[in-house]
Amino acid sequence: MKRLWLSVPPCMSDVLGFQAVMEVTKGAGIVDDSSQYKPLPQDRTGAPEGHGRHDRHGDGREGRRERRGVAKEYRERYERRAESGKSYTGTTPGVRGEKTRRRGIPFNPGKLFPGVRVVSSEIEETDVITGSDKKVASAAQLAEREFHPDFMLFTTAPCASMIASDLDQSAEKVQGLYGIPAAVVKLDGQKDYLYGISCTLEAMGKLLLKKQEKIPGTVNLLGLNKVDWTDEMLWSVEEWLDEAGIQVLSRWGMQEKTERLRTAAGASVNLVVGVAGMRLAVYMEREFGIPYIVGAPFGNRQCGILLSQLKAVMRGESVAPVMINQNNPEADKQAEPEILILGEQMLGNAIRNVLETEEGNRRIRVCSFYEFDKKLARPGDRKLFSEEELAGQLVNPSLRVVFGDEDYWLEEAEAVQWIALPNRANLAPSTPMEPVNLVGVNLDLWLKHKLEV
Amino acid sequence: MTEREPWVKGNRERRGGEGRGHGGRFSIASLLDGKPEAMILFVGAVGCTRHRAVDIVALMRQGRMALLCPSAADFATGRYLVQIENAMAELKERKGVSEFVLMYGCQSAVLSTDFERIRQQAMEKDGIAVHVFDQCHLCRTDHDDEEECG
Repeated sequence: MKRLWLSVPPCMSDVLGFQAVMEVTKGAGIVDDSSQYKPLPQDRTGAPEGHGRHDRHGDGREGRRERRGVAKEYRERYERRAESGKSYTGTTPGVRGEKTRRRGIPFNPGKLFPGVRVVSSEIEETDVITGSDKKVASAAQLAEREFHPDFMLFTTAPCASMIASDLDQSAEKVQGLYGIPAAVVKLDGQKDYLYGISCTLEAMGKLLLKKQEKIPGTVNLLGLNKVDWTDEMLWSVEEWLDEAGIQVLSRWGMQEKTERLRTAAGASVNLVVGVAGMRLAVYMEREFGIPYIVGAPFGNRQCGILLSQLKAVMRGESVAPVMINQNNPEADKQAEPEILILGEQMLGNAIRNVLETEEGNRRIRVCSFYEFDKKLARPGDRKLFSEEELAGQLVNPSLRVVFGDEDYWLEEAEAVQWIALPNRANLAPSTPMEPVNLVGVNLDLWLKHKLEV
Repeated sequence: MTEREPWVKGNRERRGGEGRGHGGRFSIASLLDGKPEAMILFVGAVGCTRHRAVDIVALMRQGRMALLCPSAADFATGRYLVQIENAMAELKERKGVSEFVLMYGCQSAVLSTDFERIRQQAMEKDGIAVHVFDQCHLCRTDHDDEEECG
């Protein structure tokens, strides 16, 4: 049955995607929601010496050590505010005899967790009738006081989206009160994290970008995110572009200064490295005339093609933005695949490109539970909406290999080789797997190793 | 409701004393206490599963929990009511489950869903026993995040 999930674990929602973007900016996010936002799963150092889980239950030494660090940060924050003569809302553990939890877990003064740049309005059932605007305003005030953000974005979680909270009005008020730009991202907590990241990046673009003089030889990286990407991967991409004489002007979705984001409209071209960057790329092309090239820089051959496309665009040549090989679309559509790739669409496409080049295999299908762009899809590729659809893909008798999150395994895949792909959007992975740096030739080497094994 | 049922106020303190993990906090698994054949069906947004995701997935791996995530359109049109009914019927057919604990998110609360009617219909139509766990974050009757972070 569609929308019924029995074994595939839930993924990060669009609102958590929003959070992932806000945490790498100097902005602040306000979510009209009934509960608070904690650090994202990958930002929590769990309890490897206990139950190996991320929550407090059975936590080991690592978990406690982390909490001591958290408590210290609260204490320091408290003391800084006490010195400045400002009042402090909330309670702090172990400080001047204030309330402390039995197990030493810090309370959350001012309703914020360290490192989290998202504040919840914490609405209750009565707010559904009376409106949540006052609570949203309080959350914005708290965010402004704690973060001194360069900009503010508002969004709604499921409940507030159902009552159509008027966040546009709240954003206007914030602009007037604090003199910082603010906007609304229309989310509802019912879609996947890549959709949330995509909409948030687009909203940031609309809010921050201004027309600029073109800077030759520059590129913006769009569609990055702290869930699937690591700093190491980003540095590898920047190094690769730097060696080709291309300067990265701004990075959308990873740690970046607001000033650099504001000047991004001066770039010669945009490189969309993840499907979550497509909305922003289309917006920037329409508003500022910046052409875009699409493709994750994974795999030696694909990197070569991307570089030649980037350079062609910089020379003023016209290049089709979407890089999909379609030798025989009808055959692709009908052929039962031997290889199925489940994951982020551009990563899937990159893996397919390498396999086609190296293995000569042309019966490869890319499917995803997440944000999916038809322009990047070959016939036969599709977005999956249910376990039933996944099972339908796995029962195919010609299927030999599946690349995907190990937790997507269903009994229909009994006879196929399953190659695990990292998926940090999985909220409770059975075997946590860090992202692998697949930039450039790394993907070719990784695939070779995996297929040999 | 019996005094074992953890959502009855006053029974929560007892849970800690019984050593059910989380320092006495609510655990989803405790909803299945005394119901060895039952399964939890959560009806709500994928966004809600950020709460206690590890517990949810652990129960899913044991075959004791399923998630039904209707779309916004399903809620707006009332289709989610049929989906709940169909989901329980399908789980009964596929897994032989005839007793469910129904949990829900804030959408169902906002729409004042008549869970009593769902309960009655499931029993009359499919012979399925339904226990409704009628607390969500919006209703604040079991706001354990608040408890956790002050």
